[in-house]
Amino acid sequence: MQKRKKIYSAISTSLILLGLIFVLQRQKTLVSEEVNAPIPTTVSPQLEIDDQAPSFSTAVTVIKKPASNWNQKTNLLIKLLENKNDNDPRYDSELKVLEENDKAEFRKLYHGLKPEKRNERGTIVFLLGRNIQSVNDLEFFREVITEPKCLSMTNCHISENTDDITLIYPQVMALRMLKTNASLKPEIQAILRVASTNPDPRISKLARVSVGSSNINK
Amino acid sequence: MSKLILFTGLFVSLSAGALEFQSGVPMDIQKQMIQDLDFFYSVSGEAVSELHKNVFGDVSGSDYKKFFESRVSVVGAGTCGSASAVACVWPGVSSGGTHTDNMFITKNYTKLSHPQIARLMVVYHEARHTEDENENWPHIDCPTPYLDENGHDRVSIWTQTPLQGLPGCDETPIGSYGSSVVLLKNIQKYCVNCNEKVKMDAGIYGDDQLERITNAEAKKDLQRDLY
Repeated sequence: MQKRKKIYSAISTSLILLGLIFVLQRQKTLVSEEVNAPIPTTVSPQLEIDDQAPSFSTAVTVIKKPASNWNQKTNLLIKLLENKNDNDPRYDSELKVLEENDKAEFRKLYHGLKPEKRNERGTIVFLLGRNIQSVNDLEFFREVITEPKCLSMTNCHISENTDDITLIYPQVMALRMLKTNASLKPEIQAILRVASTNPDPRISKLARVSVGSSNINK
Repeated sequence: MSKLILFTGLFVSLSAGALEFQSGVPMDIQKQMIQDLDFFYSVSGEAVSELHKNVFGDVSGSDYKKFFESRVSVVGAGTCGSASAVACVWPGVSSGGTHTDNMFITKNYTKLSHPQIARLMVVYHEARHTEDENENWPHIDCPTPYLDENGHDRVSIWTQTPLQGLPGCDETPIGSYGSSVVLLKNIQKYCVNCNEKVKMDAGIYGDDQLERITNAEAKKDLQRDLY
């Protein structure tokens, strides 16, 4: 009986050791792979709202508001942006029609977002672009289109030798939304004329196509 | 005890259907990629263009899933040799067989703020590069000079270096760049369960990728099929 126990014990110990060796070898393999392909660090998925610096595009200083101080639609928007699921149907339901106070809050949120948040900023431009009703609404689009160029995805203020179209995503979105808006034509054309002189050739080209090259210098 | 937790942590990884993530891929990237692919796998379309039919099948989640999972089996972590790269494949690198089926994802997948459509465009572009039987649909050298309509140098979408002379172009409508145009323009035009923003994004990025097609005939084929 005692002998059998010892055998079982020896077998168990061997199995544990074999398992440990296997795990250590597997780890060694993984580590060697990691040398060739460094593992990225994780990044917080939280939406960063810049509450310190003046806005990238305007001199308006944004005070970070606690969630309870944003209205319902802005809180929903913040939640959707954090989820990073661009196809959320609520963009086309709850956030389809915006009241004046929603638009004001969305603009404030835009200016409070770090400039590197290109998708988030472009999404706000898109939502506001579906709700252009007056000349006042257009001022925001003029601001977006004339923003200083974002120079890199990691830091808009430092050139990093990158020219991803996402860098101009809010501007491209603004131009496309203006293009699809049939109302306020003269005012929109005035903004497009400004955009047609943008140093980024993709923005200027899109603006010229939008307004029609024959009208651009009129 | 801490070692035990470390070992446990080392082997935790998510699985998206047939797709396996290597343990070095951070959990937030795994989750984001699964969420992105789940979106694509749920797409439904009301029509399809001819080129799309030939490359991907219908504008449908099941065909997108089949396309991706028949090409990519394992996703690992990597830097892909560039600070701004999002994903890459290395022809010949496989999960055990002889067929290229490993894709590497960088921290930029979640760190940089790209629209979801742009992330998916990149991984489907890379999936096209796994096709050993098509010599991995290599990029071709862009012409020198390679200028836009305004006479400016065309620059790389991802690295801003002038594209002239660099292997950042495509001469076929169904290579890695061309297939991105086909995919995104079909999403823009025919997806019935994509919201307005996604369709708008698909148009923006699809139009942008078209600029990488340098062969006039190939570009015409794309325009005929999609515009």
